Amino acid sequence: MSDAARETVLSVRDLSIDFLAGRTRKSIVRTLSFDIAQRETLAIVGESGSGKSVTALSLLGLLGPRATVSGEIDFLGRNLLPYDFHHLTKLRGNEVSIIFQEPMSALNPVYKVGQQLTDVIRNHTQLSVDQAREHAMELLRKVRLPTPKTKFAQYPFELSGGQLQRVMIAMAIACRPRLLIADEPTTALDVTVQAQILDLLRELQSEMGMSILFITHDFGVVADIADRVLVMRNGEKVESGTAVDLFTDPKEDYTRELLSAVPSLDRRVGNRAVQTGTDTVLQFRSVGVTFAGRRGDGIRALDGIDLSIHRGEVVALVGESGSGKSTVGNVAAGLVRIDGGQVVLDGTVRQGNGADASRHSPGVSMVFQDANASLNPRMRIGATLRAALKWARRSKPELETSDEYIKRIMAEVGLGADLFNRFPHELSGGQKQRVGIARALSVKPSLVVADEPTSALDVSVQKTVLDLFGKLQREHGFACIFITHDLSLASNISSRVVVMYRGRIVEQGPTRRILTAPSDPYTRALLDSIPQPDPVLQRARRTQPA
Amino acid sequence: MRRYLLPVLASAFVLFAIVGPLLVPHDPLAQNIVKRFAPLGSPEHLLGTDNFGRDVLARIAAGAQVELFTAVSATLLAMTFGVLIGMTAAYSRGPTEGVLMRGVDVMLSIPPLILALLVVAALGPSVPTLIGVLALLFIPGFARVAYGQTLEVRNRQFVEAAIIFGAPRRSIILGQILPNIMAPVLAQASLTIASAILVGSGLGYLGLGIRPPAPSWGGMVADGQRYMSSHPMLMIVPGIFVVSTILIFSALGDTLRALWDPREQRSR
Repeated sequence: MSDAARETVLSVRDLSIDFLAGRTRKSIVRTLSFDIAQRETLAIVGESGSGKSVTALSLLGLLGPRATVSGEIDFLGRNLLPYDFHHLTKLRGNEVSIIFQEPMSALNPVYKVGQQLTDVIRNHTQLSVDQAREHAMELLRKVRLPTPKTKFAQYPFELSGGQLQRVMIAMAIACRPRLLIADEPTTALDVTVQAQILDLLRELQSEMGMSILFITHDFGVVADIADRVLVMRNGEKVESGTAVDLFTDPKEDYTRELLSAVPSLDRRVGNRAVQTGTDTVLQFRSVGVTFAGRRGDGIRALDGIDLSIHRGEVVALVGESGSGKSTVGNVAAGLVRIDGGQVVLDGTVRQGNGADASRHSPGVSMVFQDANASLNPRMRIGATLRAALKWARRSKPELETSDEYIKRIMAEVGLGADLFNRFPHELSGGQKQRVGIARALSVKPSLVVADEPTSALDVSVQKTVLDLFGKLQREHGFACIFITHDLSLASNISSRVVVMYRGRIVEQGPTRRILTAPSDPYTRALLDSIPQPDPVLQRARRTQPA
Repeated sequence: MRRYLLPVLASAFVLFAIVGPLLVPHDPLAQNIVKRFAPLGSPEHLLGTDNFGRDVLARIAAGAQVELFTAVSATLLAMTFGVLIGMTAAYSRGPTEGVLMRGVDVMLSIPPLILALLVVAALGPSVPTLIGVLALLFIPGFARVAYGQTLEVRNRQFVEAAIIFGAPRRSIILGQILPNIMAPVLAQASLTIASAILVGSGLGYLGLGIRPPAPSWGGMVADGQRYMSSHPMLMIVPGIFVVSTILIFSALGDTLRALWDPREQRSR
């Protein structure tokens, strides 16, 4: 690891990027400088709008005509600026490759996976079709795609997100690039899959000796993969250094702030007293849900779910995509029809045998994952809140709907009365989610379903919103189903954890017990996959696999 | 400010249609054989006179009134029924959807001008008939636009939120979905006004629109055609009005869409 001996692969000096927005120029990145050495992984970390992705895309001239890039981008002694597109075309995919956040949209849906990979190889080499196919198969094996022969002849939609990302990686490494740019490659993936992809990248790196520029917002991932870290904010460098230094001794306040906002698994476990209310708010009795499939075959989303939520308790529903956790929330809120079992809310059967006609459950409200989508773009904030109150009052006549009450609720979630007449698009992501929380709270629910309410937010905002939510929950005493894919988050907010996998509950119990002594192997795998924001711990973990 | 050009032009046209007949000091029907075929730019008659000595400007203005009234009423009718059909179909799904949208398809499959000719021929030309026929012709367009948009919007999360908070169906459709599909519907409306003017003029040209001697642009083109070689302006002037009006209203749609968007309102 003698740094001096290593060749510098990429050297960026005074990189500035402007975008033309309408008639004004907007400065996105300002005088940014960094180096990446051979076999090194540099992680650029930042919140949304920090310019990290734009920086990555600028390296390959992928920003389009509205962007002006100035400064110096030196790749192996060749300056890439100003862009020479003929030269860049030869560079892209050959010496510098890139993988994206959404492998599904990066692959062409109408061509078979193997075909696309073969095409890439043929574009860059003189190989014959047969040789290229052989090379493609070899690459698919190298990225450890399960059953590569079958997958070779399948379309992108037939593969899972993790498998598609493996295909993308195979494409990226087809020509043994010197530099791999990875733009949030694991953000859209489940944590167990994320861990595998990070392992794969690390392995390929040591085998092929490439450098990696890793763009992410997740400090856990940074700790897992990065040698060096560059923290960005508003288009500028905040601080950079080796991963270990940065995590143990951050120099800048902003870095410290970001690090402290990262939900960490073991920090707060057991902080919350286990409240075992006797009164049951919501009960699922062997609930089943089947969604109609594409060819008439049903998809079993929930299979015999038994679940009780007591008054005033926060239950975290944890699982990966496709586990059915959101479906549980939607059933509780009356959005989804069940085809087996019973849903009992506040003593009334809402669905199943003996249910009254309406599935609507007064007393249940919901906070959505995508706050933006959950607010009507054409309604002002005050009107949105008033509408929800008016609807809810149909079954709860005691609810107040005055502007004063609405403003009081807004103040409670930290929104100024000046936002009353604003439209959603004038609010920040965090503010929008506060509106979502205010709406859920205003109708005095006995149960709030919170479906990943913070996963679309930046980490620093995430923490404040989560703290606010926890505080309001304690003050108002509503029961809560907190749906999340993130066990660290679950540990911060819940007194009980329910782990779901493929439509079934695999394990449930007090949060502390689940986190410290999980009995189900899936829970254990989930726990082990969470990257911890601590490079030393993460490295130790890696060397001794569970 | 180019984005204001089209709304200004359209408003100018509407204004012209409303107050034009009051400003022109001539009766559009008054004949004056002595002054027939007065040229363009005559001191008394700005756009000249026709073969009966009637003032062309007065006739254009009176025609504008009729054209606009017919087109706008027909469009409003078509919009109301079309949007109602489209939204009901998209929101209820199931058999209702099938019946409504297949009905719309059937209506779409009938050539518009043929249907118009048929109805007018059967009922006789009159302004109410014309409005009814035009409305019928343009219902499918609105139904399709509203249907497609509603399908998309009904799955958005704020609609789910409304359901969870116990919103009644009526207020979900009218309060939540309708405002979010209005932008393309308005664009469709402005296109429809243009088409309605076109079809209306076409019928007028064929003598099936507004009954002569009441002035209509289509009728004026037809009358002027007979004097095409000696007095081409009699045909060209109403023609220019038809074409420019249609162009203005066709292009207005995009501006309307932008004006409807709250994001654009604030960023102006």
